Formats: sequence, C-alpha cells, structure tokens
Amino acid sequence: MTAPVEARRLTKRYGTLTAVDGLDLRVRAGEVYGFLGPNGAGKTTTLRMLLGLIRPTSGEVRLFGRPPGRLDGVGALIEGPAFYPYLSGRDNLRVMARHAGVPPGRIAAVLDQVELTDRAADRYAAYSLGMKQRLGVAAALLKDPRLVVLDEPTNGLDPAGMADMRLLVRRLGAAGCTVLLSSHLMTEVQELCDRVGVIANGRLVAESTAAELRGDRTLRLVATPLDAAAARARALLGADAVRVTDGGLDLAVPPARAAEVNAALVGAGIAVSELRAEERSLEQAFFALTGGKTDD
Amino acid sequence: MTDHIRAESLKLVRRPATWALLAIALCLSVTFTYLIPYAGYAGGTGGPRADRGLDALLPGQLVGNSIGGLPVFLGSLMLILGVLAAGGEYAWGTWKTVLTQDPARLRVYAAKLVTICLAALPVSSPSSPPARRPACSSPSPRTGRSTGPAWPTWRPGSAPAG
Repeated sequence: MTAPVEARRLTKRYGTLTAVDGLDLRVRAGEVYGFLGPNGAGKTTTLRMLLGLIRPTSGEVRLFGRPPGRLDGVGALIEGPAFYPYLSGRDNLRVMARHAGVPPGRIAAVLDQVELTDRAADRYAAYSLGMKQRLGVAAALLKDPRLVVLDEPTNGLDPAGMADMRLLVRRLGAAGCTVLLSSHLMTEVQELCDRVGVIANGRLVAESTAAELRGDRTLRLVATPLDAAAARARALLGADAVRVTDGGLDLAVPPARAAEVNAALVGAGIAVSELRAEERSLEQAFFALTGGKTDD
Repeated sequence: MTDHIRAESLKLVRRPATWALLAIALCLSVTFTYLIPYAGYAGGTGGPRADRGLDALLPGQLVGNSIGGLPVFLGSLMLILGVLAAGGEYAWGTWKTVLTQDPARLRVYAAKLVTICLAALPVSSPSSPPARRPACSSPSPRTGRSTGPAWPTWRPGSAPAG
C-alpha cells in the first residue's frame, strides 16, 4: 500500500528566503502524524505544497502515490477557515459540496460530526472563532476523506474549543482516517499523535513517536541547601542528568523516579520544597531532539 | 463542471451585492431614460431629449425606455459584478477552500466565468443587440408593444451627455 503522504527533497524559496529546505516526509496509512514547529518554521508552506496550493521550487510530492492535481479522498483545513460571510454555515457547505462533487447528503453528516447542526442556519459572519474552525473541519470532511490535513486546528480556540477539536481529531484517527496535523503546541501533539515530525527553519530536524517525546519529561526540584541537593542528586543520578537552573534543579530522569529522588534527598537532611514532573517546553524539546543545533 | 457552475450560482444568487447591483441598474435606468428626459421636456429648456414628446415618457413605455438605456452603464455594472465575484474569493481567502475541494483550477475558474456570463445574459441580451441594428431606427411591429416605440428615440451615446 502506498503512503498517504510522501514528500522527497521538498524545497520552497521565496526570493532569497528559503521557507522549506529539502524536506522529506512520509506519513503512513492510518496514523495521526503531528507536524510540530514554531511559527514561521515552514509548516503551512509545506502543507500548502502537499495539497498543490503552491508549487514547490524543487522536490516532489505524492499523495496516495499520485502526483499533485488530484485531491479526491483528501480533505484539508489550511491556515484557518475561509468561507463566504454572507452565506449560512449550511449554504457554505452546500457550495463546497458542489465544488467537491459530493452528494448533498454529506452536508448533514459532517455538520453532525462537528456538532454544528444547531447553528447551521446562521450566517458565517456571525460565527465565533470556534464555530468557524469547526465549519472548516466540516468542509474538510465533506469528501469522506482517507487523509485529512489540518493546519493548526486549535489556533485561537478557548480551552473548551481546543478539547472539542482534539476529541474530533481523536475520533478521526480511531475511525481509521490518516491525519496530518500541524501545531506549535507540544502538549497537543503529544496527546494526539502517533508520530511527530519536528520542523525548524524549513528542515525536518527530528522525527519520533509521541511516546519518545513523552519519555523525555524531566523532574523539577527546588530544595535547600541547593548545592548539597545538587551534589546528592549527581551522586544518585549521574552528573549528566542534573542541571542547576533558576534556583532549582532540572533532573533528566523519568517522573516515575520522583519518590526515589525525594527519599534520597530527605534522607540526606535536605529540605525538599518542590518536586514535580515538568513538561518540556518546545525550545527544550528542540534542544534535546537536535542535540543543541537549533539555528537560532 | 456542472457542479462548479451550480456552486458559483449559489454564491452569486445569495450574495446581497448582486441584488444591490441590480437595484442600482434599475435606478440608473429609470433616472437616465425617464426622469432626466422628462425634466428636459417639462423644463422646456431644450435638453438632450426635449424632442421626444410626452407620450414616449408615459408609464406604458417605462419597460422599453429602461431597457433601452441599459447598455450605457451595463458594461461597467457587469465589470463590477465580475470584480466582486472573483475578488471576493481573494479577499475572504476562499480560493484555498475551493481549491482543496477540487484542485483543477482551470475548471473552477471557467465555471466562474460561465456563471457570470449566464448572469449577465438576461440583462444584456434584450438591450444591446437591437440597439446596434439599423432596422430599429424606425418603429417595427416585430419588437412588440412595450419596447417598440422606445428604440427610435434612443441613440447610442446620447444618454451620457444628459
């Protein structure tokens, strides 16, 4: 079976600026693939090239083994939702269904899927950002796609909207749909994705499973006296695993060892005032994944 | 292709700006072919159409008069319609939504062009061609009750002067 998404040496230059630089990407059938990177890393540019919205400077793209120009079985929401403000949500989907050549029966189905049926008769212009976003996903689902490309689907949503959107993505994945999702939120990608590609400055700097990303969580420790705590921690965990930062210690060990660390420190007469599992920030993840070689 | 044309028609028909343009067309046609000539007649100042006589301005001739005047500004109105239809897609960023539904740009663009032409057809066809036909410079029984008398008095290019 051919991969839903395959890109080889994909490059896009705008004048002297290289937005995407020799990117190789392969998304396997049935997985939820997370495309992680800070703003301006080239995520959207890459997704636009995958969908044929812009032409790559060089390199090639295959969706289900086909060259660009055919998107049947592929649904996408790129750079936020865009619809006709004077039409209702349902009419917007009616327009898109006609463009896609899908039967109008799909409209009610996708509205139901994104839970927008109640407000489908309202004008798009009156929608909240969360509703617009959900309508965007609904439009992406019209073709009953085997591959869904979602570009920062939770961007600008409130926590409840984010939770809804994540649930929707999880359902898509569970239904056997291949999902390619871009995000600049570490936690989101960890929560949703089977595999994660990290992009920085137009290059894919690392690719790993979400479990590997999660395994790299660290412990944050605040204790007094700090120097004694550092010495004790180094003796216990090895010098490489301990870093002193901001009046505390960062311990590069799995959070499961917290109790052991705590017992050792308390036993040595050190007052432990804080000990918690810490999510790595995106910068830290980049640092770890690239071996410290981020370009900026 | 048919699906694309149906999609474009839905966008066009439901768009308030389309109907605003139609309303503007009607207002302009009444103003230029009826109100201004009447003012010229009533004022007796020898305006552009003072020679027309009152009977050509009576309500019975309204339809013919209005249609007769359309070609003067119809072109620019249709131009605005085209700009709105194509420009809106850029302004709202909806091209990307449409082109991810079907990436065949030529087909999508062609459907938009065809739809606008179809929309322009019913407005422009009854007015423009007869105006160019020399036979219409004299009353013709073929043109029917309402439009018949309107043509002889209308000359291309005379209305913008008013």
